[in-house]
Amino acid sequence: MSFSFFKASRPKTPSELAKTVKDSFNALDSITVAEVKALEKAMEEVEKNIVAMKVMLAGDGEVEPNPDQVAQLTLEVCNEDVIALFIHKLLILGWEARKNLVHCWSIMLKQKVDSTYCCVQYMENHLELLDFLVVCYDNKEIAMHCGGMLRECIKLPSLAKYILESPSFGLFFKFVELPNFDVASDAFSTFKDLLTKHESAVSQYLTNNYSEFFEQYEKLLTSPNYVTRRQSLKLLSEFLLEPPNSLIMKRYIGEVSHLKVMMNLLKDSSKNIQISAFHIFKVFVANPNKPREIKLILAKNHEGLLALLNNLGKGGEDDQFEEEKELIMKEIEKVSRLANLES
Amino acid sequence: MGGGGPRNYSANPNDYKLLEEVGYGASATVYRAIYLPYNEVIAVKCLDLDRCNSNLDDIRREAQTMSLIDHPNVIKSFCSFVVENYLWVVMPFMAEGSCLHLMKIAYPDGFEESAICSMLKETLKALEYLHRHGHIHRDVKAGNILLDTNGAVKLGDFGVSACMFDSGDRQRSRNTFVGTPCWMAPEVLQPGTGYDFKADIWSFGITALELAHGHAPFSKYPPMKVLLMTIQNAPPGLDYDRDKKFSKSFKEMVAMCLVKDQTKRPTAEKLLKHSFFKNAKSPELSVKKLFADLPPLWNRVKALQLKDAAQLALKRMPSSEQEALSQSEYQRGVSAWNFDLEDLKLQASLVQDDDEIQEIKEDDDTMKAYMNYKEKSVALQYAGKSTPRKDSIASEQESVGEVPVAEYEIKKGKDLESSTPDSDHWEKNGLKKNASKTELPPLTSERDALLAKSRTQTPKARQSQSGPLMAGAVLSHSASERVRSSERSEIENQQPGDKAHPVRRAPSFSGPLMLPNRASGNSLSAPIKSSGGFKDSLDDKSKPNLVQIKGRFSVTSENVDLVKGSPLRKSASVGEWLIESKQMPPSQPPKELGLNNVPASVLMPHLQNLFQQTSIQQDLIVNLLSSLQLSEAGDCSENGKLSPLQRPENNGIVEAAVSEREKLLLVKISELQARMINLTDELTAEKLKYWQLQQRLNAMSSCREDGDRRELES
Repeated sequence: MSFSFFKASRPKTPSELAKTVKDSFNALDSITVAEVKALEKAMEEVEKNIVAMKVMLAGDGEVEPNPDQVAQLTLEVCNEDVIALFIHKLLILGWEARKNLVHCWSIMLKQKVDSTYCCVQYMENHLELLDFLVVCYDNKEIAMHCGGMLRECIKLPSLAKYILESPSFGLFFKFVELPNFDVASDAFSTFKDLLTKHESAVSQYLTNNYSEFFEQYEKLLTSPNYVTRRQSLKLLSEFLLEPPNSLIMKRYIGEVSHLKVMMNLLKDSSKNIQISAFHIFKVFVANPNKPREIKLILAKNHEGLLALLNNLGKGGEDDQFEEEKELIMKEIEKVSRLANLES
Repeated sequence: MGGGGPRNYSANPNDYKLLEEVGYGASATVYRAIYLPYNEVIAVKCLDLDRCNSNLDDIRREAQTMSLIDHPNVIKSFCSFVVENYLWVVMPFMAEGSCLHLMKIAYPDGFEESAICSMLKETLKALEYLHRHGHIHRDVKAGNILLDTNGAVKLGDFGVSACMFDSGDRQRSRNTFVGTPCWMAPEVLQPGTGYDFKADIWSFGITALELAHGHAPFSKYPPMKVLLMTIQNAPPGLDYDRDKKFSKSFKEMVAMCLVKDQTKRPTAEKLLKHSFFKNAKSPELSVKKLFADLPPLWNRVKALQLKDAAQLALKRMPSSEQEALSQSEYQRGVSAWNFDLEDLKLQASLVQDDDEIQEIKEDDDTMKAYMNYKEKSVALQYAGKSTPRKDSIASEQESVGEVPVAEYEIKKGKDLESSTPDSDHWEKNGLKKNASKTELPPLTSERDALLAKSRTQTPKARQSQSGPLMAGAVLSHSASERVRSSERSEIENQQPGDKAHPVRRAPSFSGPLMLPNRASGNSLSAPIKSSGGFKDSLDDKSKPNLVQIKGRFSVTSENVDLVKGSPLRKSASVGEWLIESKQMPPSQPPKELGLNNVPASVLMPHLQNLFQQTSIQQDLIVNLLSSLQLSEAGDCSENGKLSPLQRPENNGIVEAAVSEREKLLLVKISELQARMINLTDELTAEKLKYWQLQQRLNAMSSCREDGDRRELES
C-alpha cells in the first residue's frame, strides 16, 4: 500500500503529469488484446499515473495538496482533452483505479482556475460526455462510478438542464428499475437530483414535456418493484409540491388518471407507500377547484375511501397527519353529499 | 476486468436457496444460503424495507459502500436486489459467526490474549482500509467481527440496516445490533461535537475489552447510564485484578485507543504498528482452534435464540427482566450516530445508580403499596355497595363494552363528575374510581405507568409501557406509584377539576421537560383531535387518554388534567368545531351553499366557544410561562434532592453529573422555548379562525337580513 517507489522519483510538474496521463491512456489503444503482457504493463502505467494525480490533488494523508499545483493540473487536464479520456477509459480500468479516478474527477470539477471552472466549461463544450455517462448505467461494472461523476456534474444548473432535455434522460425511467439494487438506487438518486436540485430548469422541463413525463412516471408509480413504487412516490411529492411547480401540480391534480393511481397506491400492501400516497392524494381532495370528474370519483368511492383513511396510519403517525386526515375525510364527505344533491 | 472484483452473482432470487437462519436483528435476518449456479455457500441478509421508515437513501449508501469495497478483512456484498419489500444482500458466508456469538456460546469470560491479538489485528487492517477510503464503520464491536472456519476474520455489517437508527420512527425501529452506546466514543455521544475516523478507534478499544472480558465495559447498565459514564468517568481499561493475565503491551494498546481526546488517539495505520500486534499469530493458528468442538453455527444460533426467548419469557424474574429491559432499551437505542435529544431526555429520567438495589427497593415498595392498596380497595367495595349508583355505573360499564378500557376510565370519570353534584356521592365516586382501578388493572396501567415512569423513573415502567402490558407488573407499578405519590394521586383523583394544579405539579416532577417538542405543540393545543378515528360523542373524552396511549411522553397526564379541568375546552376544541361544522352546514361559506336560512343563533355558541378557547389557550401560555420558570426551579431542587434520594450506594457520579445536568437543563429550557413559540403560533392560528368565523357570521347575518327584507317585501 505504499507508493514509495514513486515518491522516490522526481515529482512531476502538473503539466508533465497531465501529459503523462494522456500518453499512458493513449498507449492502451495501440496494444491489442493479444499482447497480454504489454497490456498489463500499460495498464500499470495508467494506474500509477492516476494515483499520482490523486496525490497531487488530494494529498497523501500527510502532505496537504498544493493549491497552485491543483489549479495547474486541472487546467492542463482540460487543455489536453484528458477529461474525455477519463470518461471513455473508465471501463477498462481496474477496481481501485476507477475509484481513484472518480475521486480526482470530483476534485477537479469543483476547481476554480482564474475565476472560471474550466472543467465545467469543458463539459459544457462536450455535452456528449454527459450522455455517455448516463448510458454507462447500463454497465454494472462502472455504473456507480459514472453515477458518481454524473451527480457531481448535475450540481451545476447548466449541465443538469442539458441532461433533463437530452433524450438520454428518458433512459432513467429504465435504469431506476434495474435488477441490481445498488445500480438502480444509484440511478434513482441521480434521477432525483435531476428533478429536485434546480427548480426553474425542472419546472420548465415539466411544462414542456408534461404528458410524456407523467406518462412515463406513472409506470414507475405502478411498478411491481416495491422500491421503485416507494421511491418514485416519495420523489413525486418532493418535486410536485414545490412552489415553482405549482402550475404543474394544479394540472396534475385535475386529472382523473393520476387520482386513480394515487387511490390504488392508498391500497398498497405497504404501510409506507400508503402513507406517502396519502400525502399526494390529499392534494387532490383539498384542491378548491376540483374538476367535476374528480369530485364524482371521490363521491362514488367515498365509503371505501373513508374506511381506508380511517385505518390509515394507525399508530405511530404524528398529530399533524391525523389532523390532515380528518380534514380530508371531512372534505370527502362533503363532496359526496354535494354530488348526491346534484345527481 | 475489475481487478479483485468478485464473480458475478445474479439478481434473481430463484438462483438462491435459503437455508438456516444464522443471524437476526430487528428488521433483518441473515440466512445461510446456496447460490445455485455456482453451488456455493453464501450468506443472504434479508432486510425488511417496509420497516425502514426513513427514505431509502441510507440503505442505498450502505449497499453501495458494501459493493465498492474490496479487502480481505471486510465483508463486501456481492450483489443486492429487491424481492418484494425485502432487500436481499448477498455476502460471503462466515461459517463461525461473530465473535460475540462465539463468546456467548463458549467463551463467556472472553478469549485468551493470542486469539484476541489476531482478531484485533485483522479488524484493524479492515479499519485501516476503510478509513483510507473515506468510510467510517461506526459500529465496530465483537458482534460485527465475523469468523470463518479457516480462521479468517472479517469486519462486517456495515449496517445496511443503518437506516434503522436514522430518523423516522426512531424509537421503534432501531436495531439491537447497531450503534449501541457501550461502544460509542465520548465525542460521538456528545451532541454538537463532530466525530471522525477516530470514533472507530475508540470503539475498537472497547471491542478489545469486550473480547478480553466477554462483555463491553458498561454493558450491564442502561444506555443512558452508559452514556453518562462514557462521558464522565475515566476511560475504561485493562486494570482490574482479573486482567493480570494480559500483557503490558495489550494494556497499553487499549489505553491508547481509549483516550477521550480524539485527537490523541492513534490512527488505524499507526495503531497497526503498535508492538502488541508485532507478534500476532496468524488467525489460522490462534483463531481457528477456538471453534474446534462447537456445533455448526446455525445450531448455535438456534440455541442462543431459545435462550433469549426463555429469558424474555421469565420477565418477572428481576435479573432477566433487567436484561430484557436493557435489550429493549438498546432497541430503542441511544444511538448517538444520530442523536435524538428527546430520547435522551427520556432516558435520562431512567438513570439509576444501582439497578439491583433499586430493584429490591422497588419490590419492597411495591409490596407495601400493594397491601395498602388492597385495604383501600376493600373499604371502597363496601362503600360502593351501599350506594345504588354503583349499579348504574356498572351497567354503564357494560354498555360501553367495545370502547377500549383505557378510554373508558376517563369517560366514567367524566360521567361521575357530571352526574354527581352531590358532595357525598362525589366522595364515594371519587373513591369508586380508585376501586375501578383494581378491577381493571390494564386501564390504570397506561396512566400509572406513565406517571410511574416520570415519577419513580424506573426502567421497568418504561418497559411495561412500551411492550405488551402485563397486568401484574403494571399493577405493582401503579401501586408503588400510589404510595410514593399517594398524596398527589389522591388530590388528582378527587379534584380533577382543579385547574391550577397540573400546572403547579408538572414542574415538580419535571414533566414538561420530558415532553418532546412535537408532542407538546400538538397535545397542548389540540388534545381533542381524534387520533384514533373515534367519531362519536365519546370522542373528546377518550382523547386525553388516547394522547396518553400514543404518547410515550409522560407529561400528557398534564393535558388530561387540563382537559378535565376545563369543561369549556371539551366543547370548544377545534376538532369538535369541525365535526359540528359538518353537521351544521351554516358555517360553510354562504357563497358555496347559500344556506342563508340558518339562524345566526346557531353560530353564536360556536363563536363563543371559539373565543373561550382562544382565551383558554392564552391562559395556557401564561401557565406554561410560569411553569417554565417553575420547572427551572423545580429542576434545581430536584438536583438537590437527587443525591439523598438515590441510594447512598451511588458511586459518586453525582458531582460529575452536575455539569451534565446543567447542560441538559439548558437544552430543556430551549425546548420549552420552542414549545412556547409553537403555542403562540397556534394561538395566532386560532385567532385567525375566530376572525374568519366572525367574518362569515357577518356575511351570514347580512344574508339573513337580506332574506328578511325580501320576506318583508313579499
